[in-house]
Parts: sequence; C-alpha cells; structure tokens
Amino acid sequence: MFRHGFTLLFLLAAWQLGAGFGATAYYLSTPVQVADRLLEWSMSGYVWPHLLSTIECSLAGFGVAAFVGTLFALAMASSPSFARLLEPALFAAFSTPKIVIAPLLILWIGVGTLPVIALSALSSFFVIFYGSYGGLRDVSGSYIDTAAVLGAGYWTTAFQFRLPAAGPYILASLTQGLIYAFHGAILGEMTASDTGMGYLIVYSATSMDAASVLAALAVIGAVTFGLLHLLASATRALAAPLNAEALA
Amino acid sequence: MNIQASHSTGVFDVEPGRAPVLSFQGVSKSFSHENRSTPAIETINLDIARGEFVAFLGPSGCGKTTLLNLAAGLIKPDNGAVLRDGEPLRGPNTRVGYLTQSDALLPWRTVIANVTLPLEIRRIPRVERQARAMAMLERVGLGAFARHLPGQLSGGMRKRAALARTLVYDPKTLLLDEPFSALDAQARLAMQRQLRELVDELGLTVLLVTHDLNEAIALADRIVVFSKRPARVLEDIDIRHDPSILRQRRTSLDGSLHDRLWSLLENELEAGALR
Amino acid sequence: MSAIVASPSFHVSPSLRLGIGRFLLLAAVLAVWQFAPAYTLIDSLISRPTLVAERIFQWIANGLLIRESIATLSSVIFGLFFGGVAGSFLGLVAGFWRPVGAIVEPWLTGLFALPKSAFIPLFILWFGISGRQHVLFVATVVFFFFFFAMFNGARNVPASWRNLLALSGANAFQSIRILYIPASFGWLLAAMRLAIPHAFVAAISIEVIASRDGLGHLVKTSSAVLDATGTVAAVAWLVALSTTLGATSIKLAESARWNK
Repeated sequence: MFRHGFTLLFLLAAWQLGAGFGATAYYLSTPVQVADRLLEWSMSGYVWPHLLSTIECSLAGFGVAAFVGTLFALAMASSPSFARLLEPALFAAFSTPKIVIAPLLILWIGVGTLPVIALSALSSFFVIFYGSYGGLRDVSGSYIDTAAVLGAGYWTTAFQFRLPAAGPYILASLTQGLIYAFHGAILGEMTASDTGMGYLIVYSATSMDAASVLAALAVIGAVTFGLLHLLASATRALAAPLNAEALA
Repeated sequence: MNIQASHSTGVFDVEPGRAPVLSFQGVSKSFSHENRSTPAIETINLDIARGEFVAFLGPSGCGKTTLLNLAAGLIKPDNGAVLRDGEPLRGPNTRVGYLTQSDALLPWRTVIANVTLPLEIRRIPRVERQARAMAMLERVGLGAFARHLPGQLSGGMRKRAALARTLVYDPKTLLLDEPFSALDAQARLAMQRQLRELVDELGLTVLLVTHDLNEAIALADRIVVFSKRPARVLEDIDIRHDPSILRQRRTSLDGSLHDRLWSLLENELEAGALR
Repeated sequence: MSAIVASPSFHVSPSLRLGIGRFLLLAAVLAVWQFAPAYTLIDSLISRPTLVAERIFQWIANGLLIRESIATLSSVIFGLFFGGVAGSFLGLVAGFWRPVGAIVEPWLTGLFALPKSAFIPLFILWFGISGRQHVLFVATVVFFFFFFAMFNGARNVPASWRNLLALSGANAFQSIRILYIPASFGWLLAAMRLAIPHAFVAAISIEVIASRDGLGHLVKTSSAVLDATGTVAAVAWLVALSTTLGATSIKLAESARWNK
C-alpha cells in the first residue's frame, strides 16, 4: 500500500515536471491543472448534473437488464430446446459491438436519455444473461429431482428450485452487470446525448481542453473503483448467509 | 559399453580425496510464513565424502528437503555455510544433478530434447549433445522412446528420462529427493536397482532423501537419521557393504538395523504427536 | 436379448430439426419485418429486408463495403500485432522479474477496470482523427489481455522447472527462451481468444465516435443522413462480420491447444 502511494506520487511528480517541456503541457495538462479543474467543477456545481444523469441512466439501464436478463436466462435454462433454438442469434448479438446500436437509436428516437439507457441496458444484459444462464443451467440435478419428486410443476421448479439454487451465480453476474451498465451509459452519452460524464469527455476533447478530459476520466475512475469496492463488500455481506446455508 | 571412457572430460578438477564433496558447517535455516518464522533445520554439521551414498532418513516434513535445496544452492542458509569441495557455495550448484519427486520434464519437448536441455544451456555443440543424450537414453533403456513426448510415457519411463537428463551432463554428485515415491512398488524396485548400478559404474556421490526405511537400507552406505522439525542429526550410521551382497541386505543381517532405525523414527513420531 | 429399434423412415435427426427450427425462426422474423404494415414511419425507421439486401449487394458491387471492412480489419490486425507484442513483452518482464511485477501489475489491473471507450476522446485529442490513432487505441485495449496472459503464464511456471534451469546454470535469456515463452503458450491462446473480439469492438467504437473511415464510420454517416436502409445494411454486415470473428477466435483457441 505504501509502495503504491509512493509510485503514484512519483508518477504525478514526473508528469507535473515533465509537462513543462515543449508543447506537451497543452496535450497532457498537468496534475495541478486537473486538480484545479476538479475543484472548480465541484465548487461551481458544474459536474453534478452530468454525474447524476450518468448514474440515473446506469441504474435505469441496469434495472431493465437485470429483470430481462435473469428472466430470459431462467427461461432458457428451464427449456433446453428453446435455448438451442436461440443460441446462434444470442451469440451474434453478443459478438456485435454494442456501440453500433447508438446510431440506430439516434435514428429512431433521437438524442437524449432514452438511447443512453438503452445502450446501458444492452451492455449490461449480456453479462447478466450469460452469467446467470451458466449458473441456472448447471444447477445440480439433485435439486431438480427433488422438485420432480415433490410434484413441482414447470413454474414451481423454475422459481422455487432453480432460481434460488443459482443465487450466488446470479448475484455475481448482477454485480458485474452494474459496472457494465455504468460503462455502457458513458458509451451512450459519448455518442447519443448532450448530458452526462460521457458527453462531458467528448465535449472537452472537441474543445481541446485536456485538463477537463482528464478531470472527467478521474471522476469516472473514482466512481468505478467506489462501485467495485461497494459491490465487493455487498457481495460478501449477501453471500455470507448463502454460504452458511450451503455448509449447514 | 564403457560409459566411464566417454565421460572422461569431467567438470571436477579438484584432487580426489582431499576436501569433502559437500560439507554442512553449522547450517541453520528457517522460513517465515505470515510473519511467523518456523525453523526448518538447526545447526547441522555433516561432511559428505567423495563416492559416498548417503541416505537422509527422517519423518516427513522434517526439513530434509531443505538440506538438499541448500546443497543445490537453490536457497541460502541463515547461519553457517555449505561448502562444495572446500569452497563456500554461491548461487545454484551447477555441478550436481538434482532429481525430485516431480520429474519436471517439459511437456512440449520430446524425451531426447528434454535430455539435451542441460547440454543446450551449457552451449555444447548440437551434434555432441545429441550423441551424449542418445547414449544416456540407451543406458536407461529409453532409446526407442527418444522421439516421444513425456505425456506418452508411463510414470516409470518418465522417471528414467528424468534420470537420464540428470546424468547427461556428467555431474559427480547426485541429490535425490524421494525420487521414486510416486512409482508403484515394482517400478520402484527396478529403478532402485538401476540407480545403484549407475552410481557404482560412474563412481557418483549421492545424497538420497527418503522416509522409506527399506529404500535407505537397500541403497545407501551411510544413513543419517534426522529428528522432527527443526531437523537435527540423531544418528549417523555407516552400513558400508560389498555391493555384491546387496540382495542379502534386506533379508538376514539387517533385521536388527531395521528395528533400530524404526525405533528411532517411532520415538520422533510419538514426540510429534504429543505436541 | 437385445432389442434393436429401427429408426422409422420419417425420423428427422435432432440436429437437422434444430437447423430447420432456427431457419424458420429467422424466416418468421424477416417476414414480419418485410410485410409489416406499410406506414411511412416504419419504412423511414427500420427499412425492409429486401431493401437492406439490395443495398448490401449494391455496396459490395461498388466496393464500398469491402473498402470499409478492410479499413476496420487493418486497425484490428495491426492493433493486435502491436498491442500483442508490447503486452506480451511487458507481461513476460513483469512476471519474470518479481519486483517489476509488484510495481507494475496493480496499476495495470486498476487501469483495466476502467471503461476503455472513455479514453477514446483522449486519443483523439492527442493523436487526431486518423488510421494511426485507431491502431493505437486497439493496441492499447489489446495490450492488457496479452500482458495478463504472459504475466500469469510466467508466474505459474512450476518451481521444479525453474530449479532445473537454475541448476543447469541458465541465464535469464536462456530461461525465458527455453522455459517461460513455451510455458506461456496456452495462456497466450486464451489471450488471443479474448483479444480478437475486444480488438474488433475497440476498432468499431473509435470509428463510431470519431473517424474518417471504417464500418463504424459507415453506420454513423448513414444514420446522420437519416438513411435507414443504409444504417441497417451496415449494421447487418457488421453483425455478420463480428459473429464470424467471434466464432473463429473460439475455434482458434480450441484447435491450437497442444495435448499435454
């Protein structure tokens, strides 16, 4: 930990001192300038609406992806023939860069928060779907046999047995999905919006303002790491009773 | 086939019989794990003379392997010194052959390419290293399998390939760390016999780490018995015999030796279990 | 007594039935799309399959699709090459010399967690809009996969193999050539399998956000002039290309793995 702090300090010092030479300060900015920009943004309140918009769109996109993704995964895991029918189509959609949907969305619904939410949901969907599907499909046969012996029907088996048994996998895919939703929203804002952190980066870049680009990236980085940290502790807290149950 | 003649260009240039081949002088070593230091061996004093076949016997996990790693120069002692031919050892000991429980054959190289490896690193010309490797493979009975990949061989064959690789660069000292423990009983007996023959023929000095009493008695001239961790020398027994009566050893006259060694080990095991 | 059940003559093999099912599903989707009520709104938004197919053939005939595909794929290939070489090299160095790894690895892990596309504006700011900047961005994204592959490959070389080389008196370069590079081969294949699709995504992303050519650029310009047929045609071509690339990278990783 101490060593990483030292490395960071060294890199920042090298950047600050090195940026003075030639025209590099124009492209690279300096740590002091970036810090100054961050301070200015938070004092004037300029950055908050953008950040709030990104977070709102991420949460909306994540909500859609989580609902559709897990339900779809459950449907496919419960009926293998249905799964096999759709596999190639899903693989094609999964392989395609999600960003190409942005121009289509602009064409259909114009610039705004809706295409951002859509892109966020789409980015998040495949992580959640494939993660949950893997867990739901490989649920131990003994659970399913128990359900059959107890005379559970199709829906009861799916919701009362398969879904809870795959809980840890679904949880893991959802935490992954939240990060992807955040990154997807930024991607959407970069191409199809006039608010949000993604828009802020593109706008700053087109006005050749290196300090603002880096300041916006720093905010995104801070949110990403904060999110990762939060999710890690939340997963531990949530998974503890699940593990205890499995051990009992 | 005269192996001796083809290996006349040895790496040893020290006069025979002077300093011990290997000498542990007040050597101790401990390992730290999670901020806790555990002593592995404590002030070991041992001399290994040229041509001796010494077995290190002791309860498992007692630090025998640490002694071999020190002799190989793979780790440094905390106190004391390891001398090779009277000189302190610095860095990996490239004059020894080291064979462990894992045969460490590289899976992407053919058997012969594995055997030529030590020669390749020593920058010996291709033609010569091929010839020497092939001769050594013939010697251990793997001539027909030179072009096979290690994955295609049985456990015993892999072990013989590893032995060929260990001997190909002509080391005068062998360090063996439970080399045959992963083999089944029959393959183990065959390997032990082949090893003893090779050692006698090439005049090698051997340090064999084992927890198998019978293996120690059947192969060694001298048995050093170690205590449980941290390892100390409990007994140093010379059992030198004429190699021609090897087969008799296990039967008649060593019953008493077996019993004596067993009681030593048993005491150590009980002491350990009480803790 | 063994009862041999003869297949009835009308029996259809499961794989054939699956194929037919998938074909019918695709046909149904296309049919609904084609014969949807003829509102001008729908035509101007999602076009029709026949129009899209016509446009794709037209673009193939006049060389546009091939030209744009080559532009995209050359960014992908050169990016994979440069990012692969740089990432593998640094990964090997960091994995081989532990102190280097201890300093470099946590920072790269941190950077890797950030959204890659958010850095595109920075690349544009620094290097402008050109093919060179596409290659640079793709190489940066790909770099991480190769770095971590070689780093983990080098870290996971068994101690018994390292000891073997040490006792033969091998120097660092001999160890790397004889042991570390071959031992990391499987890890490199796994990296390839991930890097190829990610390189494609990176190339398309930067083309959509800012560029003068490539398939991503084609999608964006078609959409900008409200050309629904063109936009859908470009997206359809892109889906076909990325699916092929994705499937190929999986096949590549599976077939090239040597038997241990």
